[in-house]
Amino acid sequence: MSDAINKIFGIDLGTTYSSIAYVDEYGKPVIIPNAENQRITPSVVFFDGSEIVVGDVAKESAKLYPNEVVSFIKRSMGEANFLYEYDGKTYRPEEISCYILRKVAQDAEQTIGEKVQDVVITCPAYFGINEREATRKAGEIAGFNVRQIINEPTAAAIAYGTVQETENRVVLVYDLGGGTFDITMIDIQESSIDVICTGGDHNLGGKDWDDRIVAFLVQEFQRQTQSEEDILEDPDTWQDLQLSSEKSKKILSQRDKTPISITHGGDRVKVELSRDKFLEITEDLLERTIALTHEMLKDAKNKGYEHFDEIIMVGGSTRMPQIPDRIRQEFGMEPRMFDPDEAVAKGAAIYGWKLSLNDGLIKRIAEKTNRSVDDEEDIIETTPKQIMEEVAKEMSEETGVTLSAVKRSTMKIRDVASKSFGVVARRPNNQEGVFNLILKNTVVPVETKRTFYTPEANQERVLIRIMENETNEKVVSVEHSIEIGTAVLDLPEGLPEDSPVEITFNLNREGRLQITAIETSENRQVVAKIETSSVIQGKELAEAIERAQHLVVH
Amino acid sequence: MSRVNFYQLLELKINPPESNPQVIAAAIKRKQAEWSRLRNHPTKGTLARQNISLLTEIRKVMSDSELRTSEARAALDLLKKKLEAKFIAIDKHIQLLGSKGDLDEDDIDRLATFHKVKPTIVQRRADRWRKKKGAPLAIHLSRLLIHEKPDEKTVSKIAAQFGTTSDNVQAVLKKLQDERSAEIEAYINIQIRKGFMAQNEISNLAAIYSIDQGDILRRVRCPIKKEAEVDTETSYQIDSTVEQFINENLKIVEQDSLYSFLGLFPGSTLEALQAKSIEKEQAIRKIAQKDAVVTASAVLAGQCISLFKTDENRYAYDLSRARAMLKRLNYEIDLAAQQNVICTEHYHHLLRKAISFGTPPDKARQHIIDYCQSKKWQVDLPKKKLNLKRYSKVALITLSVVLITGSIFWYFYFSAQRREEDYLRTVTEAREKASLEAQIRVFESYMARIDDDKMREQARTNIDSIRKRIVQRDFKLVEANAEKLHAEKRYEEIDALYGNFLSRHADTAWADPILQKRAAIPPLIDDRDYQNIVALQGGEPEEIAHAGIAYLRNHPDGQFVSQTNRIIKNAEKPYFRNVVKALQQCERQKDWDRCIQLCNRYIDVYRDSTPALKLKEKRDRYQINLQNDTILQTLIARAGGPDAPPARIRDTFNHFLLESPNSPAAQLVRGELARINLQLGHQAAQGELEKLKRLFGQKGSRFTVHKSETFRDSKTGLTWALLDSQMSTGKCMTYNEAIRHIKTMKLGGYNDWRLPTAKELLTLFKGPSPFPGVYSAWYWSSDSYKRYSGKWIIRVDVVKAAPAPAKHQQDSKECGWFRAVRR
Repeated sequence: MSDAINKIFGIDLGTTYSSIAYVDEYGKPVIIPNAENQRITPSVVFFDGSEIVVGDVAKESAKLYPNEVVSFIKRSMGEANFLYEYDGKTYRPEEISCYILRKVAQDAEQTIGEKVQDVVITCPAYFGINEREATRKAGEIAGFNVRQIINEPTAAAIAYGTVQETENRVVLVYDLGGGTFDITMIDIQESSIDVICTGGDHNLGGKDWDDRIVAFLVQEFQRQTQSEEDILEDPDTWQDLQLSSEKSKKILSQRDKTPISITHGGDRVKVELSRDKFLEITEDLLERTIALTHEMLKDAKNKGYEHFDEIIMVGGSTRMPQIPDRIRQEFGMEPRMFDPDEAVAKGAAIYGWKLSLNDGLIKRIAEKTNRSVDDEEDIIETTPKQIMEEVAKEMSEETGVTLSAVKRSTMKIRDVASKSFGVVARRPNNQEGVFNLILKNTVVPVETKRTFYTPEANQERVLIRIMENETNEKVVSVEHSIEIGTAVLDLPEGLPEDSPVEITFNLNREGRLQITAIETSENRQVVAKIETSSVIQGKELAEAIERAQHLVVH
Repeated sequence: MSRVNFYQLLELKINPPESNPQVIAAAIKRKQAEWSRLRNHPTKGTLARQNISLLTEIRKVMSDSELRTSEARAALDLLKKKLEAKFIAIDKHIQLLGSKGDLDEDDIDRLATFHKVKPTIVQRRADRWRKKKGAPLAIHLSRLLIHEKPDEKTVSKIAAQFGTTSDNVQAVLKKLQDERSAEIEAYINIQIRKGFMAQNEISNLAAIYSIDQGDILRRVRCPIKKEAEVDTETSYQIDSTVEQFINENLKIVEQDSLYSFLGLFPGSTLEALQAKSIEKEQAIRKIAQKDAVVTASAVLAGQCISLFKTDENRYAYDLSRARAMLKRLNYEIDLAAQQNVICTEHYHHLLRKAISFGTPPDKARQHIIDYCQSKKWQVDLPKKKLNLKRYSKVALITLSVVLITGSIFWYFYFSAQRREEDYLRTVTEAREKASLEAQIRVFESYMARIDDDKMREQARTNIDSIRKRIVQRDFKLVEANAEKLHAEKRYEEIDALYGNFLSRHADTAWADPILQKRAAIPPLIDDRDYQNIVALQGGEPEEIAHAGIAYLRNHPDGQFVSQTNRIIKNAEKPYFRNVVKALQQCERQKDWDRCIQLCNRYIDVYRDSTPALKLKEKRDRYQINLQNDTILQTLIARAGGPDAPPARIRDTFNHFLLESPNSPAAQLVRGELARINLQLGHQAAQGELEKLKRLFGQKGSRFTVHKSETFRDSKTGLTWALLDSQMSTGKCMTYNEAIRHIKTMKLGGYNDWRLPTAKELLTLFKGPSPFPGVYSAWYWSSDSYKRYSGKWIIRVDVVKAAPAPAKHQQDSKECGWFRAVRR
């Protein structure tokens, strides 16, 4: 492939495992193995003195140095108060995630001999604004040019849509990863991939299945040793059981039973865990995924999608045989396992590749038609077919990328909002409520305006509380929403009561929210930067970037 | 829901409250790090998350002196409440120890030690108890009730003993009995969820509560089995891990059972529990703030949906609760043990308590005895009051006979009545069902649950009668459908209908007429199929032939075999002509698949006829072509598809030819390769032209370009073709081929082109020349020599451009390149 195409890498930043991919000179997405020659890297960070170790070594170290090892950090993304303390320093989830990103990128650089600069990072579809922003920040701290944050199921669907060049079809992506669950309905067509509806729980994943095994082992230990001691109080035992539970879970995907040994305080206990027992103690987790699926299907039905053609399963946890069995039983359809560990990273890489080709196309069209490159979508949609053909041909000849691939890069990928967003205002009964401006499962990008009125005369300012929630109702109670940020609009003096304030919400393609508020009498406007403590910023961010610049991850 | 107190959560001093901001900040930071570390702990993670989510509020409250003071006050209040809760527990234990009559000093001391309070506190509470519930009369009656219900005579004796009226004693007695009845009622409500109760369970209850079995039986609304045929402990069990998981999450939401979590009583109906579970689950899902309480609630709601799905599941949950509560009962057994003995009253009190959780009486008794045995304590079990042995043997026998007769009468009377009612309920339920099959299911399930032969027989008769109606209904349905299908000649479907009927009702009287009707179908199909062929006459021969062959296959012994054979024969020639025509077309389109298909269809009908044999040969060729095509397409795909750069396709082809020079597809690949070479040659030629033009355009060049096709050498006056044969044709040629080609050349408006002499060629390369030594190996000249060496051969002078211009000879049959010249 010619140098004319800027390589954009796709990174699947997972709760338990991460991976990186790129599109090779034949247009094929390829996973780049890490320095240990593994295609996926455990998302585990070990603070080893002055060194940071990520991956398998870190995971294994958890048994010996439980307090120096951080796992499942993705579950804390966007959490304002999560703080890991080591050696007198404190670390936010974004910074710890950045180490994982650095590890996969650094190893990739060594393997392919190229710098990883531009990246597309994936996150669960069900991530809210803060979690997404935190993910982007993690990439920025790692020193990348984060081209886009895309949803994991969408990435999987892109990878799937590229491999399966069949007729149009509506696909249900059941994505059960290490720590998160997403269920998404996607309409794959020749020229577009449209997300219809999405749902899930970003605190439900393979780890919860592991935790049930851990709890079972604790009980068995107590039973066999006739003690009531909570052996999980001991961090070494906790980490040891956590690792053996993950292993047992994997074995139970292949076999009917597995022996597990528990060592604690000089006692050694042997336990046999059967698949039936495992199914029994985890049944409710599986049922939760089914309930969430039905809920999403209900939303899809309201959007006119009553049927789907296929269910594809991604995410390592779908390897547990009870998952396809249950899906088959519930939906009477054979689910297809699709590259569960790699589909997301590959899809992100393909997305990056399309972005890159698309950049080139748009630049060329703009040159040919003397237009500005501001509105990408618009340029592609409004350019006459003949010019498009010419430009695509030129691009193909120049870069060596096949003509059909260049044309495919204009394929439209439309996502939806995974949450509803609104502001706090007073209802007619004078009670506070959240008025949703953007409803869950609306196609993004989207812009909505709504006018609110000041409750008092001579009001000096308006505090805009920006809220996120999961209902599809226009007005919901404040308790059912979380505040994701605030913005302040200063008002001119002497405004009467009921003066209009127009608030505009703009949710972009990757789920970032921009808010504009206008006081219409003097046309005073604030472009509200969302103030939130849930995402690293300011001095803390600058320090993290500074630290990361001198960092070598092992 | 009230939130946790921050003083307690941060483990700060409460009395006097900690107010040093630095100490508070340090405590917050310490806790933040601790909770962050536990965030993903398998069992403590949820609580840690809950605490992390509180941090913003903690900081706000603890940094504001006013809010902090009120928080400290609340912490003190909580301490007080904790003390109150302790009082309630003390009161319960006073009731337990007081059940033997009163509390002595030893009891007071033990309770004080157990609850870690001063003895005076216990003493005060004991005094209150004595005044209220612990009235001596009630205690006395309770103790009597352990053994039997006092009769009227005993009641008046007691009235005299306590200096009160018999009515008053009766009133107290009734109150105590009502309490016990409520306990029994609650127990039965739990037990019937398993679908039955055991006879011994009922007799045990009757004995423990000194109540008539009949009284208990009247409350039981489920079948009674003689013995517990199912071991409830193993059949109805939820896993202990799930159980513990539920309990941990209940702790987080500060509830003690799934019932209280749903806000319903344990005695609520299953439907109410189910509806509330779903409602709760939906409500929780709407909450955006996924803190620990919400997460725990979501888990619990999920468990409610799964555990309250059936009565059996719910029963398993109830049993598990009972087990957990039984464990807690051990503390009270410890408390009740005095000098290594559990007295009868304490035992009875503990037993009732265990039963009130839903523990079956025998299990409850066993638990207390086992626990005491493990502690080496003695249990004074209640003595049986049937001391009839003291009376005369005759009286005993008489009483026994009366009792047995009474019991038998009672048993038959009540159970027969109950069975009759049950049967009638079943009949009504069956009648309400819309379908006959559903009615049968009702009776079958009835038969499965009763063990009375007479009732089973009745149910069986009902089932037989319904089955007859089903056959009759199905017969009519089949007949009606068959009639419709008959009109449309859809005989196969009629046959399937009959077949289906017979498979379901083979042994009935209705099977025979159906069998007869079924036998009449094949001739009808035969006739219909032949008539269809006849109708095709005059149409496409292909269609006729295939319809004919289909007929022969379907009806090898049909009535019209000879006629059909004739029709097929007549179609043979016109069909063949059509095939040949179609083959020409698909050959042109290189659609080998279609060609093979056409041949196969014909061969299928006229297997070994001469035209069929011809088509077989053709088909073999097509197959080879198809195979070669597939190889070619595979190679193209390997190179990256038809859109891949031609050079990459060329390399793939060359590689293939090198590895498999004798492949049947080699010829095809070579042809394609030549085409690509030509294409690449054209591209290269364009580049070459541009380059030469540029070079010739330089100052002082002896060459001048004309019309982009020729150039003139001013030194020799010769005009040359701008491109040599490699560039212009891409085809390597023998000497004769080169001469023939050159004669046809029209270039730069001339047609008198020829091969140059070796001398002329050499002049082109010698001296300062724009043709550096990168050109084709050598060029043909016009200088040739015939030589005889066993046969006539022609040798030709050829000229090499590189490394230095030179002349040598080549056989004219070799292949080489040339550059045309004219003067």
